[in-house]
Order: sequence, then C-alpha cells, then structure tokens
Amino acid sequence: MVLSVAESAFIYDSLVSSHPSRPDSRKPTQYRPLKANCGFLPNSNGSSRIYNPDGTECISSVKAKVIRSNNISDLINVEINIFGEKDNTTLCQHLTTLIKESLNDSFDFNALKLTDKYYFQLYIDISILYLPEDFRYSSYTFYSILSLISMGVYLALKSAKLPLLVSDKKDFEVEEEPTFSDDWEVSSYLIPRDSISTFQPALVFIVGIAGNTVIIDPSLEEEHVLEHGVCVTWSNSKITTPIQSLALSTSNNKAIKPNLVIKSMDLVEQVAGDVINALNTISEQEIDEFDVVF
Amino acid sequence: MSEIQYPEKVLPGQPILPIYQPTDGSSSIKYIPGDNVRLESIVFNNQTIPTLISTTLGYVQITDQVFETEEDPSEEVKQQGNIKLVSVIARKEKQYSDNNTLDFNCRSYKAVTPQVGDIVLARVSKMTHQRVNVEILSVLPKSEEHKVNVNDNLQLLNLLPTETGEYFKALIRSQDIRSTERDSVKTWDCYQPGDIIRATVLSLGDGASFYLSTARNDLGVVFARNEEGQLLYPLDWETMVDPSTGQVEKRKCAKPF
Amino acid sequence: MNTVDRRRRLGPSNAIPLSFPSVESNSDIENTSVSSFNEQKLFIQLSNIPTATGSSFLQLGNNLLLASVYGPRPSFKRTFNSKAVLKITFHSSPFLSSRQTESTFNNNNNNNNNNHLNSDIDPEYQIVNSVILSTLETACSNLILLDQYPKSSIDIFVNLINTDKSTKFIELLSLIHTAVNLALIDSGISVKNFPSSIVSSSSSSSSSSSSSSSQIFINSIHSDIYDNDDEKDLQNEELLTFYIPKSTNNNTNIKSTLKDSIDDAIKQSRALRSELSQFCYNKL
Repeated sequence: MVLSVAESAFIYDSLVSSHPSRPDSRKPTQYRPLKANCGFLPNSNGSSRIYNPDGTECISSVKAKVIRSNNISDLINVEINIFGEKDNTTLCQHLTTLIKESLNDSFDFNALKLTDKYYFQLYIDISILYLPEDFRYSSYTFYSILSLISMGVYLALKSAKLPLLVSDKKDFEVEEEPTFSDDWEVSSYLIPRDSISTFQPALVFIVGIAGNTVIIDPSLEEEHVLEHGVCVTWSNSKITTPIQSLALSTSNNKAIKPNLVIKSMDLVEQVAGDVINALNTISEQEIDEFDVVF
Repeated sequence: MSEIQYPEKVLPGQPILPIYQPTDGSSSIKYIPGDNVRLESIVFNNQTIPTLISTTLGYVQITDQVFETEEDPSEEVKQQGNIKLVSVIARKEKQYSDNNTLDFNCRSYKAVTPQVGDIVLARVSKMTHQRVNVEILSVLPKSEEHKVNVNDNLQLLNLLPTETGEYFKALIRSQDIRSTERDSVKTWDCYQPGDIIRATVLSLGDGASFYLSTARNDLGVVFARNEEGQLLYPLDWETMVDPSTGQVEKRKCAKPF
Repeated sequence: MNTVDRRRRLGPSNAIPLSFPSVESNSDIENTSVSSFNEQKLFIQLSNIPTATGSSFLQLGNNLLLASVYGPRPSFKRTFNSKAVLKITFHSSPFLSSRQTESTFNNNNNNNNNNHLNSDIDPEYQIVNSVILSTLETACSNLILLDQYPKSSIDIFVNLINTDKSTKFIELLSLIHTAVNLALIDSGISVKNFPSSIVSSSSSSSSSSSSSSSQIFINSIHSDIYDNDDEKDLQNEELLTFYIPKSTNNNTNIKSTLKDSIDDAIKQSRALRSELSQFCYNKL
C-alpha cells in the first residue's frame, strides 16, 4: 500500500503516542478477524484453510508417509508455495526454515514413532493462494504472512489423523513392514487430544514495533510505518526459538532498543494462550462435508 | 574569537559540532550540514542538543556558506561569517585526489546519486518534440557551482563508475529547456543527440528518469560537434559555429563565462 | 562396550584394529579453537577490491570472508523508488567440503537426497543461507541512510571462502556481519552509526548446573542518546538485527535470561566496536 507522507505520519504518530491507537481501532493485543476451517482435504491426513479479511489466504496440508529411518531431523518436511513468488527466493526459503525450525523444536517425535524401525514422515505443504495487490511492487516484505502460515500449520497438524497400526509394534528382531487398519473410524489424531500425552506445535507470532509501542498482527497500513518486526515462537506454553528480527517493510526501518525485544515477548505471552484456545476450538469442530468449507 | 574545536577525522555516527556555536560578538555562528553530514537531535545526559553528525569515515571540512545574493554583495559578506557549511570528505575521495594540492573538491570515482538542485553533466541520447532524453554522466561538486570558470567544471573527474555503461536516465521537458518563450520551444533547435549539456536536477521524476532543467543562463550545451564531427563554438546563447567552415548551427548554449 | 566382532570381519578376536592417531590430534586442535574463538586474532583488510565502492577481507582462524559493496548505481525498476534498493547476495565457496549448506538452497528438486547428507550435521553448525540473508537485509536497511540515494541500488556481495568444522553457524553469522559492516564503512556510503556485531554466549549464572549456554547474535549501533554513566549508557544501544538460535537446552526459559544476555552482548559489542573504530581511524 502506498501511503502519502501525511497519512503515514498520522498513523505513526498515533501508534507511538502514550495511548497507542491503531488505524483500525484495535487494541495492541488484538488480532484482525480470521476465518479458518480444517480437515477438509480428503486426500491428506490433515489440512486447514485460514484467511484474513484482506484476502490473504493460506491452505496447508499434512501428509504422512512411512519411512524406515530414525533420524529425527528428517521427519518433518515443509514446503511453502507463494502465489507469484519463485520457490528459491530468500523469502520462501526463510519462511520454510523458520517454520521447520520451530516445528522441530516443539514436536514430540514419539507421536510419529510407529515401531522401532519405522516412523511417520510428515510432508507439510503450504500454499499462499492470494496476497493483496498492495504487497507487490512496494516496500513490503512478505514476512508478516508468517503468522498466518504458522496458524495454518498448527490447525492442519491438529486436525491430522493417522491410521491405526495393526501390525506388531516391536519389530526390532523381526523384519516386518507395518500394516494399518483400513477403517478410518479407528484412526487416531497425530496430536493426541487427551491432556496427558498432548503437545502443541509451535506458533510463530509477528510483533511490530514503532517507538515504544509493540503491536501484534500488524495490518498493511501499520506495517508501512513500523520501525521493526520481531518474530517470536511460542510452543508448549513458553517462548522458544527461533526468535529473530525481521523487516516487515522497508519504508521506515530503524534499529530497536533492546528492552523492546523483551516487551514484544511479554506481548506474545499475553496473547498466546487465547490464540491457542481459539485455534483448538476450530480444530475440534468436525467437518463432514467437503463443500461446507467453501 | 576563540577558535572552534572540532575533530579532524570522524567515524560514522560521530558528533562533530552542535549547530549553534556562541561567539564573543552578538551573533552566533550557525553550522549547517553539508556532504556526508546529517542533523540529528542527540540527547546527552538528558539534554537535547541539535548536532551535526558524520555519516561516513572521513575528514571534516568547514567552509563558509555563500549565498546567491549577487545583487547585494555587502549582505553576502555579512552572511559568510555567520553560517558555515560542515561537510565530511570520505576517505576514498581524498585517496584518489592529487596528494600535493589536497584538492578536497575532487570527488573522483565517488559513486553519487544526483540530488535535487545538483548541477549535472549529461549527454543527449534521444529527442522528441516534447522532451529530450539524456544520460547523466557526472554530478558536479556543489561548491563549484558558483565558479564561473568553465574549464574547472569540465574536468569530468567524477564520472560515475558505471563499468556496465549504465547511467542514470533523465529527461528535459521542452518547457524546461529555456526560461523565455517556454511554449514555443523547438527541441531540435536547442539540442542534438550526442551533445554534452549542463543542467540542474528539477526533481527525482518518475520511475524511469530524473527531470532536468536548462532554463538558466549558465545551463545548456557545453560541448557539441556538427555532422562532420567538427567542434562547435558558441556565438551567442542560441547559435554555435564551426570555425573551419563558418557553418552555423542552432543550440541552446550555456553561458561560457 | 563389547568390541568382539561377532561376524569376524575384522579377523580373529584378538586382532588389534588399526588406529589413526592423526585424527585424534586433529580433533584436539578443533577443541582448543572452539574455546578460544573470541580470543583469536582477527585479520582485516579494507579496500582490497579496487572496482568495488567498498570491500573488506576478514580472517579469523580458518574462516576467510570477503565482502564487497557496489553502488549506489542506477536502478532500472519500473516503479519509482524514493530510496535505494538493497540487494544482498551470499555465496559460499563450492569447495567447502567440511560443511554442508542448507539443502533447499542448492537444489530444491532433489530434496530427499540432500536430506540424508545433511542428517549427520549438527544443526548448530549447519550454514543456513536464509538466516544469513534475512538478518543481513534487516541490518543493512536499518543501518544505511537509504533516503540519500533515491532511484539507486546498492549491491552487497558476501563470499565465504573458507571455514572449518569448529566454527558454529552463529559465530560465522557474526563474522559475516562484521565483514559487511566494515565494507560499508570503507565504501563511504552514508550510515547511521558505527555498527558492530557479536555473538554472546553467556552461560547463564542461574542455570549453572546445566552446561547449556544461551547464545544470542546481535548487530548493534549506538543510539543518538548518550549518557556519562556507563551502566545507563548500555540502554542507549540499538539493535540493527538479532537472532537467537535453537538453544542446546530446551528447559531453560529464554525470556528469563534474555535481558542479561542482551546486556552482556551489548558490552561485548561495544568492546569490539571501539577496536574496530580505532582500526578504521588509523586507516585514515
């Protein structure tokens, strides 16, 4: 979005004032409304569709494959496809790295373990179907969609179901390929729903910084005037890595004060619980009909 | 008057001087930022001081600021003492200059981006009825703007190091070619492709090119050849002549003196 | 450990296997250099590429780095740019046999093949190009006064010539940033302040029982606020970019130790900056 000097100065001043006010009158901790569904792709283990009011739309799917390996770092594969962007741009690579890193850190790999020799390997495909035209040919970097992608992946993983293993779990001595039950009714969730053995996949939050104000989920107008962006990862009720500074747009960049890094983490701690609850509610809604989603 | 103290060499980000310096007299000296210097309010022990800060590694140079008040020379003299231009000469620029004379103005091999108000040398590349397309060859040092000696300006020392042969593109609209009878300008009577012209930067223009203007006496063609390749010399402000054949060609010439 | 070869591939059970003492001595050297990473001498050479606007060459141990800055030169984009456009390219020498770069960077198509190659590399040591590029982009766009160069582009090239197995990725990251910082200063392109980048690995005192060290990479400048008091002055630092890698111990709460580690990093960064600026000053 190309803002005039006066417009961006107004937005900036209202953000940095002692009582920060955002252009869409949100609180600093408030998200824009999001819509999401999950579990609608019939040929993948788990899927989700999440979209912003500005039209940014992200579809993620999780597919599982049985491999004979016990190398943990192999088990999660992430691929991000952005409409109109090449796969090998820095942006795509970096988003992939960040998502993969955050998942690897937070994942409980016991959930993927089938037998002593066999594991499930997850392929997470993320597709950004639409980005607002304003994003292109302007000062924006795409890093702000990281938060949306991360929520999409979270939902897809939450909704992912794995078939029930019918063969023997202990195959250390016996050479046996794992076999599964044909009945999807007895399939189990990848991430267990009971409270004991469950874990949360990581969520990546994007925090915008202007002056001494930290805001979550910056909108396009805000990104234009923000001085710095920080990505903070949250998993299993605490802040984890990767934590990194990101330039959300190149129009008004400045260096940040160290105490603002801490402040942005406080903000994430404030909102993370609510976000996770909301996402969990969505993931627990059952989708019966393919068409219902659209 | 006590001699002001300022660092001789500076690092990027190093404060040089506050903008106001009290003197013994009633008037204080004001310093204004020049090349490679920015003005920033720094806070030192909770005290806000507007200060000139260096943006590059180099040598500090303080010169008197001369204003274009040519009609009233007495005022100019008065201004000189009070306002000084602080600039930093980057390491590179000095390195390449002649060591014996320490010519600080020489910005040879310095990559510069033309700014609004700069005087540039440009070569005409393409012409239409409405506009003249040019390529900016060189940005002339600011402090030499007021020197009248053409030879000094034509040293072409600061050619942009464009090894790829790509120059900043610019265009001159037909209305900006001269200051009189702007509406009836015939572009081909003023410039021809290949001419080297001196022009000032009007604005950053659009995505493709800068906008230049030659609507001043000291701006216009400084170097041109006719179809036979003979050097042309200015006769008056709109004609040039080839001395060997006596052929006359129309050009909008820069005032040579 | 049971060393008896049941399948008798190594001969009779009383055979003595071949030993390679050279390998052991090698690992000794690596270990010592790990511990003394920060104490190693840094070799810097400026302006070593005459055609570039600014360039720097760095050597620290076995790590060789070359950074060069070109521009500002005309950018021929369709859209109007009121400030310079930054292009940053990172290139690591193809003969870095000891290290593997990120698989996605080299060839997207045969992801699977590379994954297996990568698997034996400790993630702490894996060179992640995307992190290098994104932190460099953030740092440089915060550092350079891009407003002064409208309609131009500034190109920055970083070439990693050599590295060794004992240098962690994050340490390499700070070296890369240092090289770029010096090249920018050498170029005479307008920058906000004198930058310096450092990796601070503070073994936090609170969790001294666990040997984990929380690492943070920062590239920082001094802000426009100055204070006579050194302790207070620490708050006047501004981070151009920062990166916190995966910590070795997942149980420590990052946030609790972050404040101390940032302060610590700033102190180290200041120390490095005073040396670097002295070096540049003497070069004048």
